[in-house]
Amino acid sequence: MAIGLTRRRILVAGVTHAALVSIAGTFAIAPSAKADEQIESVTCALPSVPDTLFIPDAWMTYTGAIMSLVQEGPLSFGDDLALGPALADRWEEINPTTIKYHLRGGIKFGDGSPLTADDIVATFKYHMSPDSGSQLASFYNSVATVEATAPDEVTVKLKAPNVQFAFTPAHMAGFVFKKEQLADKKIGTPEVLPLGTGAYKLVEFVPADHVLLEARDDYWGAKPVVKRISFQAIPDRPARLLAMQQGEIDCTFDLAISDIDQWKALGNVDVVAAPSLGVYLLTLDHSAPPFDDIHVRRAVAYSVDRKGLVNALLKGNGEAATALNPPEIWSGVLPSDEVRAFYDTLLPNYAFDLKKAKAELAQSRHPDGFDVTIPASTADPYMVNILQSVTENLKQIGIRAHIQQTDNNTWFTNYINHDRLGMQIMAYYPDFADAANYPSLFFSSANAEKNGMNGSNFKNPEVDAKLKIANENADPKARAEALKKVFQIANEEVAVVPIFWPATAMAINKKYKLTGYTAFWYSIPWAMRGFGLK
Amino acid sequence: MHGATPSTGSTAISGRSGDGPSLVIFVTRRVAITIPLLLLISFGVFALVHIAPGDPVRSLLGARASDPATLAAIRARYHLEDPFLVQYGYWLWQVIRGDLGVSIQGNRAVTSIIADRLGVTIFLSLMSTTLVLGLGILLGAVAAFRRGTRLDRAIVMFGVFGISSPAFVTGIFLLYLFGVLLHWFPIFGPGRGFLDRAWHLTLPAFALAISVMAIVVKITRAAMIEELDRDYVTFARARGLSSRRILFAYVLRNSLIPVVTAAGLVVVGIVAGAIYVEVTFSLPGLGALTVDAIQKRDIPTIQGTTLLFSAFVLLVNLAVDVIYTVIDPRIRFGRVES
Repeated sequence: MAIGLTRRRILVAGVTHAALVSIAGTFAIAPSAKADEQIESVTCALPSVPDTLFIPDAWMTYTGAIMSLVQEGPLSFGDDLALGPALADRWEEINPTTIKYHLRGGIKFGDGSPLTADDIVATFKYHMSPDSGSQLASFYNSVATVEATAPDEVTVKLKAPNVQFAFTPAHMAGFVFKKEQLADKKIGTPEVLPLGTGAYKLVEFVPADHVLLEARDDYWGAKPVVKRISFQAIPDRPARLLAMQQGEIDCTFDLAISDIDQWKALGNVDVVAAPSLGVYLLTLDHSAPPFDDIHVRRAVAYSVDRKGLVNALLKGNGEAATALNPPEIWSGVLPSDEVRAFYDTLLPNYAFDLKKAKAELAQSRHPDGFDVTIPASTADPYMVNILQSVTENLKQIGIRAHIQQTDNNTWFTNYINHDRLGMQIMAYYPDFADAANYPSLFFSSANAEKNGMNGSNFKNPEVDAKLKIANENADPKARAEALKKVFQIANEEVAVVPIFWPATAMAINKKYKLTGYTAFWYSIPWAMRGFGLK
Repeated sequence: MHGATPSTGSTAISGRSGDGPSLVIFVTRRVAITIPLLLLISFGVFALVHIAPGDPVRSLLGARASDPATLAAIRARYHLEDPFLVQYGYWLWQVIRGDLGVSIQGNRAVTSIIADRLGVTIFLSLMSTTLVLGLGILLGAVAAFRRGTRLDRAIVMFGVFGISSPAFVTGIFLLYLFGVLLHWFPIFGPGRGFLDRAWHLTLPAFALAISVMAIVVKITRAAMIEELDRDYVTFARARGLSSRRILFAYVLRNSLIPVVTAAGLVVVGIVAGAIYVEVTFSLPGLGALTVDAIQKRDIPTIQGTTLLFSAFVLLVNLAVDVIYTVIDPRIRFGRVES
């Protein structure tokens, strides 16, 4: 490229300045012309490849990274995380409990058969039937009926108004299967590879090892840039790094943020990061001593060095959390700068301050401190490290906190069973960007019981009432007002102790680019979102 | 594969008068003991998973709110709400009918999942066993023959070094040296097709082999040194027989009994070590499957793989006992001799 420019410059040495600029301008277009070229093949590593590619039985981000290129839902998330058209070219809310999806014409599955409204109905009904045991069933809890009301129209009726259902047709829970395949018990195995309407079709699948996709010529949307994409399972973090260094893989997803410096040091790799919309938090059981005491909860809230943790663990790739919701998750309700300004007004401000923490503890019913054991999953890259910092700080104010390291399953089962909760650490990543999602999970009384995420057993009638407004009312202004009140109360009462909002990152060979990498990389056809040669 | 070894032994020996019936009785008795042993092991593993904290359905749904009706349906599908003994009964009844059940993760037949993963583990274990026995016996023999020399000390040191470092550490070292620095071997994946697979599995097979080779080297060396001191060797030398003939035709064969005993341990050790090595080298084998299943409390898969591993260990032990008679016909079995 540089040589070409030099030659050109020599050729145009005598022409005017304007001409020179115009020629340079012509050349500036060259890279994008190159980017339009098809790439023969790309290999991406995933920490694991599932045993089945049938999403209802293997609901994991890694299944999504593969299947989002093969299957599509009626809707999709845009680069701004907002809902956009996909199989449905438009959708309309007839009334707060009825949504109609109008399908595009001429869409075909990978085997050439046409997509019909019946396929969408069958997919939704599959998730809704308890007998199928779909792992995504909870996304359809609010649905009363789903019907094909015309050959190109699907109508969903909800039991009650529910703003969050709107996102279901856009993520993995909405990926459409061919109706006939859903009846096949072997779907998802190498013998019966799931068909989809996406830009790619499955060509080869060796469970737990690799998957090969091939671009479709008859795809309804833009022409895929990459002809073949293969996914290779490399569970070991250092092995993934070495494979990238050797050039054996072109990209990999779900980097541990703490490893980012090592990835950047490889030289031939670009690290692409985006806000994950995830959150790390502590829950404190309001229903039992010692955390039923507001002063104890505030003492804990003052003892978390959020900025220190973001610098030490995330190397700056994240943000200290001042509330449960990351600002970007308010998309569609409030712009993120307004959210930040609102968070700044929340009182009290629990910035790290051990003096205030000590003072709060002194006012509590436990001025001499107490013992507490906090379970942490060793599978999570940050939990144990976060707790090491938190427990040290707590010890300084007199709370004798201990970390109990367990495997992921033990940790989560204990949490979700609401079994002697005390203080817990939780990491949560959303499936869609809605401001009411996290508060409904962590602040509503309905979830303050076994199988619910409200590990603080936080119950507040006003919060419940406001959450009802935020969940049932589609008007952004009304939702914003309701949710602001929720966050004010939650902050005052220390419903949870937010820690940080981490970024999500992927690594890609320097010769390629991926402009559409977002928090929902596993629910969108990432290779169709600005992937190409630089 | 595993079943073939005893039957080969039986065929080889049946030609000798008196050996056939005793061997058949021996094998039958051992197989008869194997079944209650397997039952005991499977019950023990089932009980351990049952009392361990955690819940298989939870890891299915991850850190997300779940639908109660679906949770109940999944629990009913895998009989997770039934009493412990009833759950075991269901599992046992399936196994008797030749069905290992359906995995909770991924909802696939356990036999299919095992079939997918078995190839890599068998290939890796066979390659490693061949390396350990071939190279180990050779090095042990050379060390014995050159007893007291620098070569002997170097071989013994190499063995001690190998056994002192766990297979996954040796694995990372080999990976870095031959994969990253020298680019001789690939650093992940099991390969496709025989030659590609052999190429991909060379480093993991060596990592596994080095960690257990010392046992074979030291036992071969000790046994051969003992044999070399015997009168028949001195006599053979006096008769003018070549060193090579003395070593391979007489000494090696007579030294093999302890080596064969060790070989049983070695094979079992390799299969156990494969669990770590498969994880280090990103190989989708049975070891990686078992680790993953345990982490997710996938009871049918854990039961399936442990049943297979236990049956394998029991059969290897049986095979070792049968091979004794091939090497040393003086050894007879059981009550016939007593």
